[in-house]
Amino acid sequence: MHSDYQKWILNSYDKILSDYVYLDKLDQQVGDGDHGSTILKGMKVAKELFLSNLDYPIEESMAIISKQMRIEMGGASGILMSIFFAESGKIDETSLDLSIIKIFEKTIDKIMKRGRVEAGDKSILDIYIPVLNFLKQNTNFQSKKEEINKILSQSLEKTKDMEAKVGRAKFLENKGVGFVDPGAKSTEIILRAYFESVL
Amino acid sequence: MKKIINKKDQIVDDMLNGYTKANSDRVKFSKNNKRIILRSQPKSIDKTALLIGNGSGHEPIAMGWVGEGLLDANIVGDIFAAPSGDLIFEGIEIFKENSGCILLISNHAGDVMNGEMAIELANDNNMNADLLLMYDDIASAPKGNEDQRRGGAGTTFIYKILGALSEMGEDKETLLSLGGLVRDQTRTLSIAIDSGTSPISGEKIFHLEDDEVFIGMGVHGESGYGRQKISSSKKVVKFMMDKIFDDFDYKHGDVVIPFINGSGATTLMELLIIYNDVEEYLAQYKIKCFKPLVNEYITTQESAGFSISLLNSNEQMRRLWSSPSSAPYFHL
Repeated sequence: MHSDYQKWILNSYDKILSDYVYLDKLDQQVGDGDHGSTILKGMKVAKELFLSNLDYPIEESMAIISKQMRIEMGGASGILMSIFFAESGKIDETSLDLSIIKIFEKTIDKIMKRGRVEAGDKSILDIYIPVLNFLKQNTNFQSKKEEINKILSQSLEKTKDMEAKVGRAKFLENKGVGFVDPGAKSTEIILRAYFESVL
Repeated sequence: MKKIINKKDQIVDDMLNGYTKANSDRVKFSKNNKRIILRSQPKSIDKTALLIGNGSGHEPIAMGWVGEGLLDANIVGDIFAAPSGDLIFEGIEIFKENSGCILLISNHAGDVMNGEMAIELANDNNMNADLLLMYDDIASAPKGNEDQRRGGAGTTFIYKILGALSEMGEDKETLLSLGGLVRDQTRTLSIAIDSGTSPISGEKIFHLEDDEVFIGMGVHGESGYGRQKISSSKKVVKFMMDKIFDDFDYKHGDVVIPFINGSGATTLMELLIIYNDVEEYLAQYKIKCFKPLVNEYITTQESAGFSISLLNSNEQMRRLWSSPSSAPYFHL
């Protein structure tokens, strides 16, 4: 699992590095214009800590990464986006599909509680929930990579039409309508890399 | 972007180094963490400690209000981003010997999530810590949904009044109860005239036409009552005061503490003209003003604009408001 997770984290970092200016620009429409810089900071920490803790069990390593991402990123994005990283450490190779479902269930539950956010509020949940729904209705995820990628793209696109009910965007004149949620975009990037590496 | 800084990722650290050096007689870093600002002379442990965690970029708040008679600690986040719950908890832990600890949190999503996490960690570690959520901005949620409103400049009344009361040795519950009362008696409305520039992105935070103002905008450019053509101070103040009076039931003979806060690039000249119009508006309803605060305290970089906050006060609040404080940037 270590090599799969290493691939995931390094690929996510590379992709965020090449997209962070775009993410900042996206955040200028609905926030204060720094989401790309913030998530890049988080992924840089994830990469450095993963590589320096290769001897640790994956669960321990991901818990350390999650905490440090939260500290480095701060704000709502740090505390909410770091949740998946801690949960992802509970991956079980002997029962891969089932453990991925559990990881998503736990992540969603914790995001909802900590962020007081629900489906359709225009947040990162609007990526996690459709993916979980798909996973629960399917088996043999390895053969469904294409479909999972399609769900990720579609879910992201759907956040465009949503009115923000949480965060700074809910106070905007247009409630962020017409723009995809920046956190949803970076989550889509990270999850795409996750399935690419783990499945 | 035209700002005199060094490296972007060192803005906050450079600023805090400068702040603690410039005010080394009154404030210092925590021994273990240079994102935690403390009073040089800590309060005695039989007293309740007051802390606030907040994003930076809004100076002098909140680091400037760490001092005797005001706050005991400020946990400083990155530009416009709340500090993590882990960091806030580290700040709370410094006061684990104190009889109690109150974390003040201005109602913004990131601040609330991280503040709640810090209090959970503190309670798991058997500390006597509570969170006081502060909100006052009437443009951000309708009457009846006060607890969904954003925290604005009016949170200042809570800092100062609880700061003074905690110095007298009152317990945590008494402080929380007065804090809630001050919050419920406070109303704030803001207006944006021009956007400041985010030092991170280098871009304006929002866009307004040259002849436009925006009433009810939040400290990060969040919207409120909408755009209007710019007009005289008297007209703008009347519009804003009418909204505040629609929201709160003021009576003849009330004594309010006004706070006219500039958001970074509003001249003292303008702020004093605005105060004059606020005072005249209140006088026509036979409402008196007590020791107003007029200056730039809660800023968003070089944003132009201001807010009007009113605390409908009682005698105890006024006494605590005007009691002395050593905080480097609080000047009544």
